[in-house]
Amino acid sequence: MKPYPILLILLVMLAACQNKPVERPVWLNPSATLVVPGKALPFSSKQGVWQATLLSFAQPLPLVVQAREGGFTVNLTSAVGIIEGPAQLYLSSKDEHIVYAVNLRNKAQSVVTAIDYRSPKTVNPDSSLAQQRTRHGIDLYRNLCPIGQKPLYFQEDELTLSPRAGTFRAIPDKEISSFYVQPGSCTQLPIQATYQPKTNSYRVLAGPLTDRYNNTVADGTQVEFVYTDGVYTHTMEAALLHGVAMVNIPADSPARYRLSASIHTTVSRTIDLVHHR
Amino acid sequence: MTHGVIIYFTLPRTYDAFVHMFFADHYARFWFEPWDYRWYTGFLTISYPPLVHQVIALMSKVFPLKVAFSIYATCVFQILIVGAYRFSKLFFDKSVAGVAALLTVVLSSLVETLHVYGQVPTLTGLAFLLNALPFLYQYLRKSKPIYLVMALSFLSVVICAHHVTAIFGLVFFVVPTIVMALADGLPAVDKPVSLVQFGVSMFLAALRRFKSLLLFGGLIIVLAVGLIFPYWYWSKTDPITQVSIPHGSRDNFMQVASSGLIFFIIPLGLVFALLPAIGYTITRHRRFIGWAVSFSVCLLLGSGGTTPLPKLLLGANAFNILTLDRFGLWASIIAIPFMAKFIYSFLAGEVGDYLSKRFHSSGHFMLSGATGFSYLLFVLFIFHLGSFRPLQPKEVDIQPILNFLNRDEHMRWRYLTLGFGDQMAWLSANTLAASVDGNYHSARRLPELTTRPVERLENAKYAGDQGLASLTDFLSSAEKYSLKYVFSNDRFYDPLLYFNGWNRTIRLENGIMVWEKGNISTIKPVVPKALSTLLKRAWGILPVGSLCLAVLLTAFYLIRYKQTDFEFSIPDTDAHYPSAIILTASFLPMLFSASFIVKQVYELLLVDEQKDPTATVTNFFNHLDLQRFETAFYFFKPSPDYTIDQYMLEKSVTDGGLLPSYAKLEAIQVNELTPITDSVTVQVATKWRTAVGHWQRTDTMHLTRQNRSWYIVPPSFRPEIPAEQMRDYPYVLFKKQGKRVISSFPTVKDDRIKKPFAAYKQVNFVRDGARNFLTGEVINADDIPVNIALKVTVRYQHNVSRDYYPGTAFQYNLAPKASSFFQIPLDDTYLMDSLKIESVDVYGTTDVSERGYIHGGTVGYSVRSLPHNEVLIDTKLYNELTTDITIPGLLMAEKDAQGLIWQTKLALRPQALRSGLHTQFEERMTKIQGRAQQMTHVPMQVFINGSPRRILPLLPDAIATANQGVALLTHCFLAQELYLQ
Repeated sequence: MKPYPILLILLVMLAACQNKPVERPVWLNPSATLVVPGKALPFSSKQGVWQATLLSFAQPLPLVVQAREGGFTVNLTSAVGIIEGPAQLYLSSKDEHIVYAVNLRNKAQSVVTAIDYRSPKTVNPDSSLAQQRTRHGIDLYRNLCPIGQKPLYFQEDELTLSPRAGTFRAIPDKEISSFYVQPGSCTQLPIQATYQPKTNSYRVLAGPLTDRYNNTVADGTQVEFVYTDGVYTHTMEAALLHGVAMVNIPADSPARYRLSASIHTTVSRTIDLVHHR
Repeated sequence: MTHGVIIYFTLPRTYDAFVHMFFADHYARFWFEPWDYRWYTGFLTISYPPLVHQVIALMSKVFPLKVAFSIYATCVFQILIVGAYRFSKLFFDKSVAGVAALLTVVLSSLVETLHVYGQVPTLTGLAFLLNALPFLYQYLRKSKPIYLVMALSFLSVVICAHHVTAIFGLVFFVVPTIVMALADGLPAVDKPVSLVQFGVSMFLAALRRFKSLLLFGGLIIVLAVGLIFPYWYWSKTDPITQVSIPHGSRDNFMQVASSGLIFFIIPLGLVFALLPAIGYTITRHRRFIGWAVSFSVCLLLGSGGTTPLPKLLLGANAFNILTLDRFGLWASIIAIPFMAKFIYSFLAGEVGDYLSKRFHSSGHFMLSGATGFSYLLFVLFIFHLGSFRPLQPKEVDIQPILNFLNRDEHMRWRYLTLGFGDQMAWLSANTLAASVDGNYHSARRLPELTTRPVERLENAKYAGDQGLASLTDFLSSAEKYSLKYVFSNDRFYDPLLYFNGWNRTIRLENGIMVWEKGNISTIKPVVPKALSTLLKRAWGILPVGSLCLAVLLTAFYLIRYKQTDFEFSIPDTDAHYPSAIILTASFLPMLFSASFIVKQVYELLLVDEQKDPTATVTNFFNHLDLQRFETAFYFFKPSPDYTIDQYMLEKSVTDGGLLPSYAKLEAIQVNELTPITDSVTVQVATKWRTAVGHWQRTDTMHLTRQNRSWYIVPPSFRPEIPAEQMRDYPYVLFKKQGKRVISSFPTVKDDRIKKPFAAYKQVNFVRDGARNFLTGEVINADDIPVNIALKVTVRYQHNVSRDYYPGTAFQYNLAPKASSFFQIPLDDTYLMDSLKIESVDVYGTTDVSERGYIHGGTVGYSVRSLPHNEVLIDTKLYNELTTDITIPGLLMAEKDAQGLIWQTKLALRPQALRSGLHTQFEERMTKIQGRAQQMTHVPMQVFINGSPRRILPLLPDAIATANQGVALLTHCFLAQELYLQ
């Protein structure tokens, strides 16, 4: 038997698999700039069910397509605000994909917020109080907007911060924009000691410690108390809290010590610890 | 079925099961990509034949990995039983082969291989090898191509499953099969009488079968090379050049009885018991001559280092690489038919008749029952060997670790497990995070691992000083490998971690402590070793293809040939045993199994631990070492004044610290000082191994005898009692807020916390004879606690540079405005001078820290000069904190009059210091100022967080000057987890 009938059937089946090409829709009254939200865009098309998407450089936005006689309309009213700039209007029907280059614009300008970046976020009067600031404006839809009296997209300047220690905000009510002025090193290290008969120990206080701008020295700063009884040299460490560091030194035996405190290169006066039972 | 039910529960305690599951997981994730980045900073999985792992990987798509492994192991055991049956039919009739199949189920060597070692690839190789041998025999006897095809297809599976079985299987199984087939093929009239005549006849028979043998030999070589060519390619291009790792199977079993028990006695127990019968039968017939040689050689090689012969036979290199227990396994497999023959005869043959005649049928019955029962107990013991003699740590629930790795981008760094045993492979199989460690030592290429005889970092303490040195290298140079997290399941390592700058982060729900190191960079991309796509495809297709082909060919063979060409004739063998053989081989199995069980029961339950003072003290310390405190308490002389409550109370205030909490008892020596009849004073010298070095301690104890047992007299106890009822101490604690924007994306401008300020107070390059090191002092200049990482890069001529990191002589975490001495060891003088130093760069990197900056204790000291430049530092330490100082430590610096630091060293004390208490001790230090030199001519640059810095002016240290140039800082480990360290 000749194989022609089988080949013929296969040929017919192959032909049956082909899709009929879809005719390209025509944009009636086309525009290079699309204003969002805006009027519906009319298209004439003889066949096919079309879907429409607006592709901005940041996000795809599905649009509503309404069929009408002889074509369809693409509704832009669902898009409220958008990142402006070059975009593509993307139409698809089954395997057909058609792209129209457009320029997007928002219909109305929204509220512009000034963004303020600071660097470094932490400054210390021991080194420098200088801070660099970069500002720019951004609207509700994340479009970059010029700000300032001399409208610029980006403003950059250098600040010298006040030496007052604390946590400040570059943008009011925005915690994440906080920057920090730390206290510096202490300038003096006053100490005093009292004998505590109940515990038979000396309570030694160092503080209040302030930097040269009268800021209280940072909590946790390590204060080293060194006391000697003539034979042994003892070193006791304490952490500063609210500008004061306190240690209890046992007054067992011998009960006479010479004591001083230090933080890095700042050293207190030397005092004698003597108790009289 | 028995194995199938049990394997799921025994596999967590096996040596290798998890490693094979890890490999299976690799293929389940990356079938055609042999590079796995999860171990050793990356390795090629072509370093192990893939078939078993690939099949489990395929099954893991349907079942969980552990279940897939168990199902696979069960299936392989079934194939092994069939293989043993078919293999035995080469020797004896079907009845004996049936007994052989049953014997395979309970053979101790196989039970141990599966349930203790978890070596499924070995069993797979063996199973298919045993099934291949009858086909090979048939081929040589009948010359039908189908048998050659079947033999080769089964041997292909062996090659793809386990290379060692393939290589040695050819020697110990295939060659004897060929010899047997040739011997059986000799015409009956030509049966030679003498051994020489037999040899000549065999040679002539081999010549007659030359083409068949050549064809088989040629094809098997082609298959062996071709099927796993990537493995051979890897072996050739990246040969194993590492220091040999000690293995118990290479021990002298006479000296190391525990190794002998595990690797020789247990697997070969029945073989030894039936050795008279095996030896008699295997040497009675010329056709068995090849098997007799194989069996003897395997038995000899399986004896490890007991005699020098295995090393001579294998050569030093192979001897040090191979695990020799597998030779014992093969010996037991060769012995299966011969053991089965005797057992069959014992139960229903001539031996049974003889015994019934001699001891009456009831005696025979009782002997059979006793032998069977005692052997059953013996096998049950092996099933649970992992419970009686734990080979692995307790099972770790890995889910909390997986959760930890999955959150906060922790996978961007490498991790290390400590004290997990082989479960580290199970953790690896369940995560995509990478570890610096691994569990397949042949694939290791990191010099820190290959230059020392250390199997894994995670069990470094079992590898002695070398293991801990290797682990220390990784912990101190963690930056080099982006190693940021350690999951510790063994507090033995805590001191090593802490004093190398690691901080505890969190204790997970499963009790695992997570340690973290600050200032570690994320994993840098590692370029995988190049391998052609063709080889990758071949690795992914050929092994599984060989198994599929073997299955299809087996089905084809069973349908087409099995019915028509089923039987093959083997020569009849003599069923007679001499009475001496019968009696010894009949009673030995029962005696062996029963005595083994009795010995185990005796060791577990009936040993008199207090029979003499030495035994009493030794066992007391052993119980303490294993933290069996209640058992240890009963070694004290019974007294109404000294209850267990009192003992535990006294222990709680006197015990603790490096010894014994973080130590392992290494050796104990008891000397009886004043032996009297019923009381004695002993001096106990103990040697302890800790992660930070060896310690020795000498105690004096008094013992008394009571009711034929010796008891320790409780020591008198006078504790220091602090005056206060309650203690208070003001801590300032910090909490790092971490990410403030809830986003999985890096939020550069909003989240990043600044790099804290730090400064160098001094940095000095010091040479002391052959030793070179950098000393100095660094200060936290910021208002928050910092973690500081130091790195020294020495630049040599010809663009050579080497990096060095501080070890334990540095406080890595510093409170605001606190400073620390440091010492960073460099290479020896010979190496540094030969490389010619050009410059030295010191890099400091800082990060915010929230723990580890409280170093504990008030130190008071006075220093006295001793001869030979030594100084004696008399030290008082007072714990004013509200927590115990677990390991008191001092960072000691030798300074000169200008304040320059010449050396820094860490000194630790073994005993903990409770809150509010004092301790006093002496430390010695040899000063080096007179002999060492400062290498001021070497240009040096210092950096903090990548920016060049100037070293602060050097200031004299008045306190050090007043104390013979010695300055001290406390550097203690506080074990209590109260957000401090």
